[in-house]
Amino acid sequence: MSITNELSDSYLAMRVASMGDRRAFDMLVRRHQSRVRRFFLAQTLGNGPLSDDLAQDTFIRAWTGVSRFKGLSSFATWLMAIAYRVLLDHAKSHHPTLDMTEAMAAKTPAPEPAGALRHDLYKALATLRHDERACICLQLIDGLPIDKIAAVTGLPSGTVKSHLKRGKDKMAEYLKENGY
Amino acid sequence: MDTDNKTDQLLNQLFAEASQTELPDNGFSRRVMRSLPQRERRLTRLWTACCILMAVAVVIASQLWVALFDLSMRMANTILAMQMPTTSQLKSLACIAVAVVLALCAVADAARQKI
Repeated sequence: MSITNELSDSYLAMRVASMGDRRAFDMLVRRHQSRVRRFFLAQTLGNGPLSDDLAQDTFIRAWTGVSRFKGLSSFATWLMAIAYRVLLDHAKSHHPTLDMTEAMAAKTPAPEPAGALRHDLYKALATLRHDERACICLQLIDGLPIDKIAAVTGLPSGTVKSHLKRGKDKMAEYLKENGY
Repeated sequence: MDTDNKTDQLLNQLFAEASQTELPDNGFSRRVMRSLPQRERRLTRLWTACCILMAVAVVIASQLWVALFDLSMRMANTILAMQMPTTSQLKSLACIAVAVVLALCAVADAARQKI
């Protein structure tokens, strides 16, 4: 393993904030691109080009706002919180009167890119509200505990728990109706 | 409770593949790096330029330059008065010039740190 791989996220973020170090930021992008793009892929129900655009927007916001990263949470949690806000902003700006589920479902998903979920899982995810879907994906795909999901979404832990419960029930119901 | 466990088990199983898959970069990082705004860099350069200007202002206002000039002239006169070959004298004068520039840079840096 090279030395650059051993540098911590916090150290790299500090270099970016203090010196505008583009190489350090490049390392952070390479390290976290998969997590961020996978999150958006699930949230946009498999729309690869849209999820890449949103992921790019997330990293640009991270670049411009990195001085606000104080290291109180991990860099990954901070980055996912930005991703969540990008997602909310996108949904609001494109379909301000619709729930995001409808907005996203209105788009025809592109052919499934690598790392995409199975098509019936997207359909099950489409039955959820956006906040339920975000909580479900952060737990089941990223493996985040409830307190981290609360930090990412800015929701109280109790609300996260109820979103998870309701979301899982809805998904289970849909999947059972479809032969699982 | 049992139903909840079964639901969790089913969903964990279905999401397992996606959670373990690392998405290939496929040029994504390069695209992000190319689209980063330059604002930060410009601000840093502007900030450095301001600090240097302020340091120069401090040197002029505090008459530090008079002392520096006087010191340089004394050293130059001492070197010229020595019985040295011309090339050695030129080298020594160049060293003094470099030392003066370095001193000014140190003052600028100190001013920047203080600000």
